[in-house]
Amino acid sequence: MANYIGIPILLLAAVINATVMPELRLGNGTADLVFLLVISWALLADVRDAMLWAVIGGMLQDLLSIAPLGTSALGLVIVAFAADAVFGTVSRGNLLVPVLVTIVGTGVYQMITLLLLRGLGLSAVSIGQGLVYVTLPATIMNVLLILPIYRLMGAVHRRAFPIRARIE
Amino acid sequence: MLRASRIFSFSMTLVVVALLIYFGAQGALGPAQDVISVPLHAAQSFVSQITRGVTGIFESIENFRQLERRNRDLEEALAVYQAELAALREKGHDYDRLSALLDFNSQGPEDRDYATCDVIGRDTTGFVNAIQIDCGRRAGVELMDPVVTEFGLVGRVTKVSATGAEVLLLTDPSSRVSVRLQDSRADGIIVGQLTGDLLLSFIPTDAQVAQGERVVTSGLGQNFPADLLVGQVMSVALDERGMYQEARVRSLVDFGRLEIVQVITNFEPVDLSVFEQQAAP
Repeated sequence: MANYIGIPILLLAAVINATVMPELRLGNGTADLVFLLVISWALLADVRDAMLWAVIGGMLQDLLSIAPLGTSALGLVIVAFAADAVFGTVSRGNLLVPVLVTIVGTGVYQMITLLLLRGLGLSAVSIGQGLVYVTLPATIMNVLLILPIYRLMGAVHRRAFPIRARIE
Repeated sequence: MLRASRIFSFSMTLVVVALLIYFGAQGALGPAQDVISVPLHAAQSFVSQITRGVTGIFESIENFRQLERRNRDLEEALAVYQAELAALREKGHDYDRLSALLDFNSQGPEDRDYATCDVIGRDTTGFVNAIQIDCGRRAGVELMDPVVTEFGLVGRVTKVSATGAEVLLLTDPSSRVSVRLQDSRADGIIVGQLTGDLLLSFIPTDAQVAQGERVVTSGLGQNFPADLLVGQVMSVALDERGMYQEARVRSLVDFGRLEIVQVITNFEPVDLSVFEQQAAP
């Protein structure tokens, strides 16, 4: 049951991404709350839960965008899995990790999305233009927001999955 | 063991996502998407109204001085346009008489049906300049319908559900519109730029294009109705190869601050792909 806590959180994040975030643009890039939630969960919880979040969050994003269903989910799933594979054993208290994952992950996620959109004929933006006008500003915005979101999701994770100790 | 289980979950998730993309791109998930989109668009519309209220307060303070200046400019422009309007009305009457004589059947602005819609969101990928509106099939909106404001062409509908639609903006790099320069009568193609500018290409080198000249849709290709205002020429130069002229065009539409748009619901684009198939051996 605790795993489903992600659905309302991701729903709210996807709606805010499509409505509020465009008002806070830097160039053509905006912070991506769904992406930040998914990578936070990948670093805090089991990677299989994070991949479920990635699929749900990605589908919600795509329902509110021009992309076919699954386009955002693909990048999110890959970034969530890679984040866990590389940093899964690092302490959750190390705040450099989420920042690093955000910087690399934003680039990887956005390039996967752009390549898919180009492959499907839905975007005519070149990789170079995409990096300069969208990915770079989006990375800056994501880095600004990752730590508060990571801390918030840490609190949610502790509530949803409290550590149980047996007293003998 | 745990690692193998994770890799298996990852592989299975990738397969599911790949299937989603495949069927999504084919349009096979349309009915399911429609069902989920209805409450999602309602939530989006609700949040959008709150956002607009908050940003509106800040903007109105910021824009007060600009509005005063703009009002003065518009009053001056109005005086000029009123004189032009009188002359054009005369020409309009002449045109009506002559076209009636020729039984010329064209669709003028007065024949268009509009659906007025609120802008409820923007594309979240960042790589596509598109907006979401709160009108869908129930309001008569169909794929490829042109979208306008009082300041001119905005774009066209590229995705539609029962209660909402996605509009590809004129400024998107994949957007191409056949246009005509109003005074020099030269045709060209407007292409969007990621920076938000508009580039008018393929203007013949012998065309005398003036700065400030108006650009309107030509109706060629039948993707848009003719004579929709697109913008004004800012500057003209030869293209890289020197075979055509290129012009930077500024739209009067503020694509970053769109709140209300109108969809022309009774325009039927012509599907020219039929002719391409017939021409193929």
